[in-house]
Amino acid sequence: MKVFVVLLLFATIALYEIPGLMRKKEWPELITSSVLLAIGFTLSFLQVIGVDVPNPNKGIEYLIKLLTS
Amino acid sequence: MIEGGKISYKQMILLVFVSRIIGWIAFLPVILASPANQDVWIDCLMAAPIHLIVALPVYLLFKKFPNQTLYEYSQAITGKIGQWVVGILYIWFFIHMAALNLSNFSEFFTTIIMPETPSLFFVITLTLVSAYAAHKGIEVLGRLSEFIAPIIMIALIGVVLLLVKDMDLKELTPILEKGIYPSILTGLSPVAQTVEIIGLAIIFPFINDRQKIKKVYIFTPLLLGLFLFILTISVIALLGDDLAKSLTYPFYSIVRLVHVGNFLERIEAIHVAVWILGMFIKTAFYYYLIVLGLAQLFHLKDYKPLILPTGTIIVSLSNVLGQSIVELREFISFNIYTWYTLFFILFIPSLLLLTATIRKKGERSR
Repeated sequence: MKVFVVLLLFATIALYEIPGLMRKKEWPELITSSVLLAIGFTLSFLQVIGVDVPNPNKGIEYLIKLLTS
Repeated sequence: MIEGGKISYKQMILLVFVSRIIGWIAFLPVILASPANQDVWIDCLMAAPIHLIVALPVYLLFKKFPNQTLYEYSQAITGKIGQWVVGILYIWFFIHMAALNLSNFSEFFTTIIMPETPSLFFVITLTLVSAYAAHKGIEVLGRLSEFIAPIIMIALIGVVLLLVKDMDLKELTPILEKGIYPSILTGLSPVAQTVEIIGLAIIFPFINDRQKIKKVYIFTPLLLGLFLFILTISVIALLGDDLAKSLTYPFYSIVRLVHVGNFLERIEAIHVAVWILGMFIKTAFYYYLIVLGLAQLFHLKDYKPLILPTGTIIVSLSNVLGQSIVELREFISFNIYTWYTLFFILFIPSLLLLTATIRKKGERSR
């Protein structure tokens, strides 16, 4: 159910953004926004199907503790 | 030119003010910084001078490149590869900050006001309204903050005035228990939280009168320092430093204490209203910095198509970051967060300034 909602949400965003850009032939804009949408989709999809996404705060904490101690 | 709008220096100061003070009225993390005793109010007095020093590289870089944002002049200074490195680093930084911000927002609501509502609901609604504001550009953000900042100031000062009769200034003694040096050093803590210093490096070119930049540079720290001082001294004088340190939301707790006569009490709704207004501006400001940076880095004509895709990243990342409030508070603590943000607001701009001076790039400053 949740997977379905996420798919629907991202499909709506893609349908809202992409046709206008295609019509105006703005290819760089199209590529950038598609890449961003793909990153967002991967992040939320992984969370919805229950994969543990690593917390970036942990990595930064580790790095800083390594450098300051 | 991606952004055609111009804002006045007053709007710029107030934009930074709102977006910073709103984080402080919830967490007030300066209380936890060392020396972590009743002397933290001295840190707040030190915050303004340290802020001036930390913001100096950004200000001097603006003098050299008055027409360009940070993303653009990094290309002029370090070339194409340097621009990519700097640009990607800052875009990641602002995405991270916006996501942290959203998880703080939902954390506040789910712990205090509406514990039954799923936190994703707050995150998504705030992101949508902020996306709309960011879509309208910097001019709308400036006007919004000019409208909302006085409301926030009046609310904060009003609450503090209602509490004056209950304050006990004996809580502030003994002064300088551990000597003056720890206090001076931890003046860094509130300054390092002022991520908006680097936000200013990006919106400086959109000012309508170049001569007024000096006023922005000088008055922003003074205004922030004054309000930080008022907030900290009222929290410590009312609760004492031990209790204040153990509370998650110290300022919210003192707003709950307001009790005048037998009729004026439970005014914490004012605090919540102010918090939502300010959070809206803060998120919209960070959002704008991300999409503007992406558009300038990839040489796009317009940033508007990037807004919704960026929103999906921020929302999902904030869900990852906000899993537990304990981990979140450990990350925001003095030992980690200060060095993380200082890397971005002081180290990279100083490096850019040094390179620009050596390679003689940019206009000669007077």
